[in-house]
Amino acid sequence: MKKRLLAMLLCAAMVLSMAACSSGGAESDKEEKTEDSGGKKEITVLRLGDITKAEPIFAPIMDSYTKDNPDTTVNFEAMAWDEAKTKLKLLGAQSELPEVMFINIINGWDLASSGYLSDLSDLFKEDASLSADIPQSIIDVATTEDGKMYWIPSATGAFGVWYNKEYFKQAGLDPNSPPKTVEEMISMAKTITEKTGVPGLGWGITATEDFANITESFYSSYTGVDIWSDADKKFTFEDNKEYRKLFAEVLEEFAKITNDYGITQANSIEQNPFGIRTLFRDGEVAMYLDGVWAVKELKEELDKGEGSKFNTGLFPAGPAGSHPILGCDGWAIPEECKDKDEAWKMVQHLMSSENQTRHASEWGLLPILESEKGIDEFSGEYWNALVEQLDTVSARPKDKNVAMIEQAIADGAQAAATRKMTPDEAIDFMIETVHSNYVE
Amino acid sequence: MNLKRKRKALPYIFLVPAIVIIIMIFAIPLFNLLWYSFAKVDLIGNFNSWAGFNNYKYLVTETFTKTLGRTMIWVVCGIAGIFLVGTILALALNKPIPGRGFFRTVVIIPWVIPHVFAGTMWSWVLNSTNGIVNTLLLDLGLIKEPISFLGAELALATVIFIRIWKGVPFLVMSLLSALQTIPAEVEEAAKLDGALGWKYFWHITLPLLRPVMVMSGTILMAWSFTIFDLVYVITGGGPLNATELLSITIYKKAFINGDMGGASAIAIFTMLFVSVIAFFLMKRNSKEAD
Repeated sequence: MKKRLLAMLLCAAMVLSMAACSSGGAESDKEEKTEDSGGKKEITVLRLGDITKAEPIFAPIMDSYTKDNPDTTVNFEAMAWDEAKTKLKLLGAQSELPEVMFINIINGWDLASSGYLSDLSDLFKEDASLSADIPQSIIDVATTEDGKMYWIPSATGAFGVWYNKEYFKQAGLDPNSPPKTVEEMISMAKTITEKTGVPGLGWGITATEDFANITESFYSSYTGVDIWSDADKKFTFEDNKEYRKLFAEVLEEFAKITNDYGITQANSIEQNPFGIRTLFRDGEVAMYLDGVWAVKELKEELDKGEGSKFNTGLFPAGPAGSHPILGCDGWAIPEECKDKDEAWKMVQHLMSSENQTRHASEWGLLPILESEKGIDEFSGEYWNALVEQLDTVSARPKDKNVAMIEQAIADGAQAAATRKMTPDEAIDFMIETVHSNYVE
Repeated sequence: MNLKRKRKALPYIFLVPAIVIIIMIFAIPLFNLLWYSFAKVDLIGNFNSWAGFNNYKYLVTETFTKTLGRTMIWVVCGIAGIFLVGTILALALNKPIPGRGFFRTVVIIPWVIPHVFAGTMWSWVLNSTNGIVNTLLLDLGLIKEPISFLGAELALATVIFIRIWKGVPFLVMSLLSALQTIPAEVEEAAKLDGALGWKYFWHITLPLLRPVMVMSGTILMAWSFTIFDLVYVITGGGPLNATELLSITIYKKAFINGDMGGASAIAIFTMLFVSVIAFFLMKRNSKEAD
């Protein structure tokens, strides 16, 4: 019996020692990486997204960095969006995040709240030319209420109206005057539907992040404030009767668009807001809400210049103006980064006008730097409204629970739009869902 | 140690690697799942605090009851459909028909298509605006308005249909193997006794297939409870939660709400629920076999 026990203990010890060996190996690998190898510094840059898309865009940017900094070896990597949430957090917990990494909102606030990201606000302010080159509206969206900036905005986009000029002409509307307000958008959509038979407004209400973003944009355009307060960690309409009333109006308008006006394509509940893009491209709807993300897919038509049938307008204004949310992703440096100077140098390199333009134009992003505006890459007519929109944007929830909060918004807004809930019930549903699922 | 004792010990020594592997791939994750379900744990398993039975409170909410009911409809209707279509196909493909090899190959195709791809393909095919099914029905004049296959009313039925399409090949393969083990003498004897057609199927084929059917049904049930990607790709659990199954709730709890504890509690419940049903199914089958 004793011998059998001894044998089992030996087996367990063997398994444990094997596990220890493997983790020891990883540790020594990491040490090797952070140390100078052959007198050279080593830095890793990570872009979220498809490597086949990222590599051709960033290879020349990395090459030019190495050319200017021959003592530094740059490793460029990419990581799929859907695996980033767990992988980045895991790497953060192991202090193995890459020196420079592209962060999106969903992962960014989560990593920042766990203490894995450096506050870059001081470095950003010290770089006078960079901080002067980014519009204040974007800086506000990327900065928390206590003044911290965990990533330098690089990839941005805001919703606006995309419309088909030919249908406007056919309906007797001015093709150079897109709707400026929600009322105008609905009224024009009615006219187009009546006169052309084509649905005036493409409308998708699947309960996704995209529909949550549309809802947030309407909310901010009706109230003039962001939907979420990161200081209070709750919706801004929770304790404000006026905002709540305006939000109920938004949701009622959603229900009317979906059910009553007869201006949308069939089965909105099956369509993701961005799924409408294909219908718009194929002339099956006359207008829809989308951002810069549509440029790449509509490029063939857009490249026809003045002859293009597509154009953009500002996000339809509510009582408080036009305030669509801004998708704002960017470059971050981990808190545990051993060589923050080198990492910051890389961020500055990535944010230079030339490199930012390459990134934005080839990935399909807005030119956020003042120095980029008006250059050839962004000179088409359709860029005007997309770029102008940047001055009046609002923010998505700046909270580690952003995914959960936006899911609650999307679920509630969808229920209101389909009249499964009244606007008030949908608002209560959002509040209750977020309260019961909020993780501190 | 004498030879006799050595011989006695030998099987256990051979079993050690298997036991170590089972502990590593089964017992450790199960133990983790269990203690996560009583704790507040973040997405990567960092322990925050003990939660007692708080994570299990969700299991008595109306939302969860509805999800469980929906999952039962998905499992029962899915398996019933798979058995109905699968049995008919297996019986047909067991006959010496021309091109039997070709048809057997065709039947397997849905099985080898990855869930994510199958889901994406079906969501395109059934799309109400530009899906081929609606386009065809409209062009043939059979419908005037596109059918919202993935709308709130039909979404669950649609994903069950896709589940049947995906699950049939497994049952066909299992039943075909079993049908081929039925001795020709049994068939001849039955025919001599006048058992033909339905009678032959009911009194001869079905009892002989029962062990395979029970085993296949149990496997299909376990799979049905855990299928996530197929439905998630098509509907994301919507619209209006019409297709939110237990597996999707677990995913949303863990990866959208960041609540690993809550997700683990539902996973533990699902595991116990499936195990109990499987236990009774197997027990009943062994009783009947005796």
